[in-house]
Amino acid sequence: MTAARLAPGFAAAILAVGLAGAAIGAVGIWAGGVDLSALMRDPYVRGVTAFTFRQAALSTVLSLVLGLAVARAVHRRAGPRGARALNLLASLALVMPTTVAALGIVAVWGRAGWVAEAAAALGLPGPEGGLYGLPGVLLAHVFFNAPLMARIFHAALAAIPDGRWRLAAQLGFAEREVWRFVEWPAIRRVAPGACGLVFLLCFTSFALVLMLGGGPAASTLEVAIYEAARLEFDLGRAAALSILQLLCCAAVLLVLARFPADWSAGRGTAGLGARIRPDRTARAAQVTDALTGLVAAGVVAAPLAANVLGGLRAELLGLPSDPAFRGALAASVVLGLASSAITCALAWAIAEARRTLVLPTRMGGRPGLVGLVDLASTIYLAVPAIVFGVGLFLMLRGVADTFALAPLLVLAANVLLALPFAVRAIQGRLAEIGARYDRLCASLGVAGWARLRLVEFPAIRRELGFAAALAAALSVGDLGVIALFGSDEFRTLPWLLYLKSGRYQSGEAAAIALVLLALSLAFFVVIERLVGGRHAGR
Amino acid sequence: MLAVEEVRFAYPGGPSFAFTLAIRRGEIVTLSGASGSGKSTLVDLVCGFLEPAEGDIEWEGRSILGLAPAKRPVSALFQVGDLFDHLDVRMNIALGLDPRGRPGKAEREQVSAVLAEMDLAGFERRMPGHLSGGQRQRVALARALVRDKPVMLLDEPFSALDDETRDEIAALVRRLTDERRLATLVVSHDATDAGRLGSRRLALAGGRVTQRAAE
Repeated sequence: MTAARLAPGFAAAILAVGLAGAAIGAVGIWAGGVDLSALMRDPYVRGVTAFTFRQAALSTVLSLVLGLAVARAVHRRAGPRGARALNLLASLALVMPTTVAALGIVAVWGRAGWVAEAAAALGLPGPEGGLYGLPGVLLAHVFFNAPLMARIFHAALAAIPDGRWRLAAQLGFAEREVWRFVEWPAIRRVAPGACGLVFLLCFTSFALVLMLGGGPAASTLEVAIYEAARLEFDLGRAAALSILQLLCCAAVLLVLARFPADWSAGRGTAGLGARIRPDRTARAAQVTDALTGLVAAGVVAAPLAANVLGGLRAELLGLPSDPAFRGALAASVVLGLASSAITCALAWAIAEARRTLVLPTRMGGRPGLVGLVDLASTIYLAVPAIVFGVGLFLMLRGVADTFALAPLLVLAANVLLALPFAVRAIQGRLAEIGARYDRLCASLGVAGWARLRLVEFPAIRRELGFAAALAAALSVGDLGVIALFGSDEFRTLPWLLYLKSGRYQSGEAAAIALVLLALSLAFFVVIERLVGGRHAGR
Repeated sequence: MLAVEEVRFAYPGGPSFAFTLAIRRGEIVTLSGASGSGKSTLVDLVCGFLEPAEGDIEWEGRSILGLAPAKRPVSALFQVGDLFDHLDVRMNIALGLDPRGRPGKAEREQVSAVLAEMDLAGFERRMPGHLSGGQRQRVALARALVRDKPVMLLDEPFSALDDETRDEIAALVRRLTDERRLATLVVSHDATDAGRLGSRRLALAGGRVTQRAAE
């Protein structure tokens, strides 16, 4: 019985760890012939490395500031409805394709964007300097990560016990005391983990920097690897840069491991506490909240609106007659569905194996082997997509036609890169129902397929629905490994969008962006509802 | 008769226990003791979730140690997870008849009959979350009955119930034990439950059954 529960998870874990190990090994072998110290003396590489750290740090700080301000404003003013809207916005940012967001940011903040037009109409000078480069990268990273931070911080504020708010109101705390004695203790617990997560996401960011970076002066290691592999076809340099990126990621993870990684604040209701907090009516708080709303609208809401409006004005009707679009749409849909199904199957198997392994030894547990399945579900947080793609390419080069295998390679990458999130989404609930029902199932003889069908699937379907929807949406919007393997024969919508915007076919690009946005959202909503059932998303 | 003969069990690096007791058909034994005294360990041993290091557990003179939990002549009501909260009452009971969860017409009729016997007629489609504590216990008892096993183990069956419902469920357990000639073991931290059930009381202390007294 125990073997049957462990075998699929072990197979999945060995597959995931093996592929990552093989890719890293291939990169290591290729990098062996390159002088790493000479590489580090290269001014371009040093500049790119420094920029990678700098933009990640600045993005984290800006996301932290805006996210915290939004969370406090929503908690002070908006109540449970505002919390739901915030969660929706965070989910939207989670599944929004990076290519689409980049186009939206250009439409608002670019030279001919809304801000420049508004400034010209008012006779004011437009935004100083160009969008491309550090400003564009920061705007894009804040667009994605400020809502995530806001959601985490709002959950922390909502989880503060009502009694503490009652006390604050009774003592007549001003805004500063509310922050110091009530909010800060809750925020302090989740902030290090949230900042660490955002820093890592920005550090390994690829598509946004590719589209909004500004040449060698504003490029990251991920983009440098892509350029070496795809544009210069200098595989030795790509491999060496990949090793450098892996070392930097490992160093970042080592530093982050020193901070608490807890950024799940639990479920709060933002009920009584939000209504009685004493700083609601303070003039300073009202001004701060209004300014926060204005900034959030400009940074997050305006690019979203620009995507929708730009797409509607663009050549939507002409798209279906374009064979390249039809092919890319079909590839994206198939990849999204396949990626979702395979990711969920692997995640379920790994979570089931982990649940069994951590049981007491007398109940069939094997705590010594937990490390293997944990490695399978975390390794892809530390191996960036481009490094993994370069590794796959180097591994298969000479053995197979990598471009003919492109659909499979992109699918594998999408599955494995979504795996950490999918495993985390379901493993807690699976462990919980195991602890609750293991003995009852054993005493009734409910096992195997009957247990999966009757006990586990109904109990975890909400979490499985979220994992399936997330995997599908991430796959549909991904511009990572496809950037290495995309060709005229194999295109996805994000890749086609990138090609069109690079060729200044902005009308078609805007239309594709709208379709891609709609597809990602539809996948997220429909798959979550189909798999997760009527309680999905609650 | 259920006989637990010189059964010894020790958790690795933890406490050790020794149990010897017997329960006849038609008899209720209440086992009480402080937390950590080994009450739940005894339930796990009889159910087959733990294997003893020494000794034997027999039903009607035959060892049941080699049998899987579902094959033992035992139905148990657990303190946690006594019902599947996401399945309706009918399916919760039907799993006692068909663990594959595909009950036919005959099984559905049997479920309805046992629900009527438990004063829960018409509750087939109710979800456990919409049942009171007493109703939950009766559904779990109904499942134990349809399994038609001669030994019934109840782990803290009254812990979440008010006094009135405790009396009601205790009377039901007493009636079912008498009518079906069950050998019933009730584990409880509350010594007064033995009187409520009209049962023989055993006390556990220091990992051993220390007292055998008729109530």
